[in-house]
Parts: sequence; structure tokens; C-alpha cells
Amino acid sequence: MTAIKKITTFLVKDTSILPLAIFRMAFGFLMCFSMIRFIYNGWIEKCYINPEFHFTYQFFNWVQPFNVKGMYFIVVIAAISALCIGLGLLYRVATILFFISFTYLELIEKSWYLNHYYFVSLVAFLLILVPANRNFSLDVKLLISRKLNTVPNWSVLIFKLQLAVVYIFGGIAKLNTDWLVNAQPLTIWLKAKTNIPIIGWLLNNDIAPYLFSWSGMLYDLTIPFLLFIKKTRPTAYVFVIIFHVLTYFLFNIGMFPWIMIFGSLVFISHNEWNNILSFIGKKIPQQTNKTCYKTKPILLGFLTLFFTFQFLFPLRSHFLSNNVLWTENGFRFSWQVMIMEKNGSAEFTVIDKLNCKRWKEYPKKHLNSIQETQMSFQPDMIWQYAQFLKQEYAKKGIIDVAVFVDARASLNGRVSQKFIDPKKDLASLNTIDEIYNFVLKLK
Amino acid sequence: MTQIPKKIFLSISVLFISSILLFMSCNNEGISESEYQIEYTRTEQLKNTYENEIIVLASLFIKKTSLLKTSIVNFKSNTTLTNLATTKENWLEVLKTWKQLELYNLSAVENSFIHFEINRWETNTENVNIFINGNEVINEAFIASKGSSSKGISALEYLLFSSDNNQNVLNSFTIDTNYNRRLDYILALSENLHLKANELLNLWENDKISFISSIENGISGSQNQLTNAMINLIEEVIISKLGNPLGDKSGGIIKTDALEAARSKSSLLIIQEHLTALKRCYTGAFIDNDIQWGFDNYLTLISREDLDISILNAFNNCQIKIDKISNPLSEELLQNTQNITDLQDSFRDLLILIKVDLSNAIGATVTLNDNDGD
Repeated sequence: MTAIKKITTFLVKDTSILPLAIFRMAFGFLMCFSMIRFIYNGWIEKCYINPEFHFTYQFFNWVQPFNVKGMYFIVVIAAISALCIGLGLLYRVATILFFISFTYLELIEKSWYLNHYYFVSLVAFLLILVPANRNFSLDVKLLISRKLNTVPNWSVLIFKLQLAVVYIFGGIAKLNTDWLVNAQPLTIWLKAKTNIPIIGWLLNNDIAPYLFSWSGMLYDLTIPFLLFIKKTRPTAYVFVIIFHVLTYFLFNIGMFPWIMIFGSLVFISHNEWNNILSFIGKKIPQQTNKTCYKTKPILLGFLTLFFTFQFLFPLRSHFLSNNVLWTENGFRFSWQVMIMEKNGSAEFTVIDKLNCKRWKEYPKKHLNSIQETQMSFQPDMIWQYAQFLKQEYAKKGIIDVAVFVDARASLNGRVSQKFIDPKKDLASLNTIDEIYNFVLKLK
Repeated sequence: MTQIPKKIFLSISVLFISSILLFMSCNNEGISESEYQIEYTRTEQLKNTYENEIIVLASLFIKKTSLLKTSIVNFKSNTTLTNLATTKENWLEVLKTWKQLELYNLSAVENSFIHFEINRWETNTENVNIFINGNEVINEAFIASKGSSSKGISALEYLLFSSDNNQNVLNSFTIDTNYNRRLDYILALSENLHLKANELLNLWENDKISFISSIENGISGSQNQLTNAMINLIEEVIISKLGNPLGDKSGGIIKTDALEAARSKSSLLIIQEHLTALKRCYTGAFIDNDIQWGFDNYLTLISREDLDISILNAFNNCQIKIDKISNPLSEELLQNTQNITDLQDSFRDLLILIKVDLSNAIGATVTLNDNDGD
């Protein structure tokens, strides 16, 4: 038997649907809560409606917000479809709707980029491909879908792999001098958290940032393997809970810890669930399928390509820049999670080339505080804002302008320094990638 | 995993974590002492700022607005040049106190928008004239019902400094059309301002526990809010109070009428008072006592004395640039623009140190938006 055949046999081998169904429920209900929270916190207005200008993603400039009612409608659609995913109701439609609506919301505004939003989009996409509603769901109860007791191995494995990608690249991102040698940014963050009950007193110790940095790196690099291995899984899952609960209390980290804690449930097998349930005298019997679920070979081929991309794409930052934290070239979508404290300040000068008139442009005139903060230390956003200013002046009839930026940034406790070449006319740069050539070297 | 290796594995994990905790707890050199220092510093800094600056200034503001009100009552009953001069002096005292207190537009006070009611620059002179020349009875209730751009310190300035010539100003209260209503309006403005001053103190007194006890470092933490308040005020100086007059918005064309409080020629004084308040907020040196807890102490405790020195130098540089200007800003803008540009640059340097370096060093959240981080 060839290696490919062996792998294929392993991938299509039957496994209990229980872990997949639990993952589906955890993800769906958590996302429903997350969407409701988004509305409750007034973030629809803050993120989508109030800004005069949106920092769109490269190649996705066409993604623009609708009006207030439209945006509420989309977020409500996302919340309802997430709930349906959790319930396993109209599953296929719900997963497609959730993936489209959530990804659309994510793509509108770059200053709100979060690694876990990207993760949610990826998981939502993968959920479309799997029969996670074929048991423990309303679809089965309502006879919309036929019940399955087992599913092919790949349908559970893909979520494990996706979680492993987050951890592994999150760990690789920590293999740098700031994190390991200088224990930054944890030195800054932990000293600022000494008021936390119970462990607050520990955080002020000089050793604490090093302990947290190294253990964080080791955790990220090892936890997916420990979760994969049956023998170490129980202990590993306890570590998952401890680690993420700790990060929740230490940092302003929103939904991410809960997504990782609940997402990691996919590693727990049917037998292990029964072991847990035995404490309350319950058991979910393992049965075989009456109906057969067939895997299309093309799907396996597509998933191979998908994960090849997932394992290669995050590495691009290593080729694009020698310090991704400073240049942020390739920073997004590469699982650089919680690894820097960066602050900046930027102001622009617009010069009418025809008559040498000059205007100072302070970003707060057009941007809200989160946009201004994020833009001040991200070169591509600085370029986008310069282009926006160029367009604004063109609207006023001032066509031929030069736009310069006076930007300073501070990374992981370093003294602030000039960030972008102040002599470069940003309006003259035609593509977003050119701006990285004018990021000044970190001293 | 069989039971024995599993137990061994768990025991080793527990032992390892316990050892680290024990080791750290035994390290008295770093932990307990400096832990208490940091806790003490942050709490004491907030307490110091609240008790020795915010409440002191808010109480002083009540006193000053009361004096202003009294002088306007006297001015109304005896409308003379002498009483006009006294009223102007008292208005200036109100302005000076306010321009220090203005820094503290945070927490419950910020949410109440009372700062707008007290001083919204610039005043809508057209509306003020419409109200004076109208028919409605002018009293405090009338002023309270009007928008913030028709009242407060700016509206008072407009009425008291409507002309460079004091006799002309006096005429506006004695012989010009509707002079009686103008007197009513200025008195009602002073009464409203005094009430607002009392309201402000009440707001702060009610917010005491929340302000002092918010020692966390998140967006709602008071130290973080103080940092943001400092950033906002410095930006206001750079963008509005100096930038607009310098022509930042008008293609480099100087705009003396864009100066704050240009009528009373107090524009430079306002910047001086802001600087004084900012430096005191940073150092915590509000009163003359041995321990003056401020951001500087916090930086020392986290071994960032270098940054403390840079910030103090930046404050001193701003002061040097202010001292270099001997004329009112409206004149200096036209005669010696470079001095104003230098002053703006000095505030810009200060801004970078507070907004970028200080925030980075203390891990402050510069923005007030919590976007769910990761």
C-alpha cells in the first residue's frame, strides 16, 4: 500500500461523530454570544457606522459597510446562523450564512483585525464541509438529515489541525529576542497587573515575565502535540484551561481564551467523554452507521491544498521582513498573537505642489481613536490614510499634492523613534507594498 | 496513560509549579517590598491627584466664580469703569483656574459634558446678540435652557472684552441698544457658571471612590484615564490652540482670530495654565509636601528614570518656549511666527513622550475603545 493510500485510508476511516458535534455546539453557541455581545457593546456603530473612512484589506477594497439598519441586519443574521449551528438546525445554510456574514464583517475594517476573527472565519468555512449536524442536532430530530453515528476521520482532524496551526505559529512567533531574552512585552504588561487578586503579588517579581514568556512559548509549541497524544491529553486539556483562563484575567483579551478552551474540546474522544460522564453515571453508547457517509476524493484534495496554504502562509513574514513586529509586513494572518506592546503617533503634511501651500493633517480629524491608534504604527494603514488625504484634497480641487508623515513609534519598551521616512511623498507610492521600503530601521 | 505514570506526571507538574511559586514568594528583594510600592504608588498617585489637585481646583473654581458673580452684581448696580476692571480681573482669575481644571475631563465628569457648559470655545456671538436683542426674560433659567456655545467663560469674555477700548465696553452696558438686557445676560451667565462650578464639584465628590479605587491598568483604570486626559489636552494645544492660528488648516495662512480667548489677549496665558496643570499632573507636585506621588515615581519604580528625565526636559522646553514670547499671541503670530512654531514643536515633543513612550512603558491603553483584543 502506498503512503497516499495509507493516509487516505486513515482519513476516511470512521470515527465517532460526538467530538465533532460537541465542537459544532461549542462554536455555534459561543459565536452567537459573541455576536450579541458585539451589538450590546455598541461596536456596530463604533466599527462600521461612525468612521468616516475605513481601512480596507488589500484586494478587498470593494468590501464596504451598509447603513445602520443593514449592518444590524447582518450581525443579527450572523448571530442567528451561529445559534442554528449550535442547535444543528438548517445546518448547511447556517454555516454558509455565518461564514459569509462573519467574514464580511471582518473584512470591512482593518483596524479591528484580530487573530481570533480570522480563526473564526476559517473554522466557519471548514464547518460548511463537514456533516457536523448528522447527530445531536435538531436537523436529525426534525428528519431534515439522516442520523450518522460515525463520520470520516478527516472531518474531525481538520479542526484539530486548524487549532494546531494557531498554536504552532503562535509559538514560532515567540521565538525572538524581545520575547525570550528581554521578556517583552510581558515585563510591561505584568508590572501593570500587580493589582490582580491572588496572583497580583507574583507578577511584580523580575522573574515572572521570563517565566511567563518561556512557559508561554513552550505551551504554544507543545500543546497541540500533547492534545493529539491520547496519554497526555487529559493533562494537556487542564493546561489549556489554566493557560487561557490566566490570559483572560491578565489581559484585555475578549473572546479568544474561550474560543480556544471550547475549541480544544474537539480533541476529546468519545471514550474520554464517556469517562467524564461516568462521574455522573451517564454514558453515550458508541454505535456504527446504518447509512454510509462517502468522502469525495476532490474534497480531500482541496483540504490538502487548504492546509498546505495554512502551514505556509504564516511563514511569509519571515521572508518579507527581518523584524515583523516593527515593520508589520506579513503580520496579519500569521498568528502573531499577543507578542508586542506598540504605540505610535502620526501626523501628516499635505503640500500643494503648484503653489507650495501646506496643511497639517491630524488623523483625529477623520479617524476615530482606535483607527488612529492602529494606523499610527502600521505602515500599510499610514499609506492608506495618505491616499485618502490625497483624494480628499482632490475633491477640494487641489489635485497635485505631496503627502508626508511624521510618525514615531515605540516597540516593547524601547525609546520611540521615527517610523517612516519623513521625506518620502506617500502620495507618490502607487501600491501599498511600496510603503515597507520606507519603514526606517529599528534601532 | 496507566495510573502510576499519570500520577507521577501530575505530581511533577504540581511540584514544579509549587516550587516556582515558593521560590518567587521567598524572593523578598523583588516582590513584597516593591509590590507594595507599586500598589501604594498607583493608589497614592490617584489619591494625591484627586485630593490635592482636582478637589482643590474645583473648590477654588467655585470661589472664583462666586467672586465673579459678586463683581458683576456690583457692576450691574454701579456700572463704572472701575467695576468693569474688577469684573475683568475676576473673569481672568476664573479663566486661569479653569484652564488648569480643564485637564481633568474624565470618568463621570466627561460623561456629563459639563465641561462644554462651562467653557465651549469659541462662543456663538451671533446667538448671544440675538438673545440680548430678543424679548424673553433673561435670567439663569434662560441661560440654562440655551446651548453651550452661548454661555460659560467664552460668552463672558465676548461681553467683557467686546472692544479694546474699555469705554466702548462700558458703553455697551450703559448706552447701547438693549444695554439693560446685556447687563441681565452677563449676570445670568455668571450665575449659571457658578451653579455649574458647584455641579462640577458634586460630580467629582460623587466619583471619589470610583476614581481612587480604579487602580487597574485596563481602559477604565484611572491612571490610564489620566494619561489619556494629558494626551487629549496636549493635542488640543498643538492642533487647535496653536495649529489653527498657525494656518495648519488654512494652507499656512495665519489666522489670529483662531486663537482661543484672543479678545482678552489670554491665549498664551491659557497655554501656560495648561502646561502648569500637565506638569503637576505628571509629577504629582500639587502641594508642598515630602511625598508627591505622580507618574515620575511610577517610572522610577519600573526602572525608567531615563524616560522620566526626558519628560521633565520636555516640560522645561515647553516652558522655555513660552517664556520666549513676550507679546500676546495675536501679535507674536504676525511678528515672530517662528516662536509660535517652536512652541508648537515643543508640545509635539512632549506629546510623543506621553502618548508613545510613557504609554508604552506603563502599558496604558491609549484608546478608550476596547475592541476585544487577542
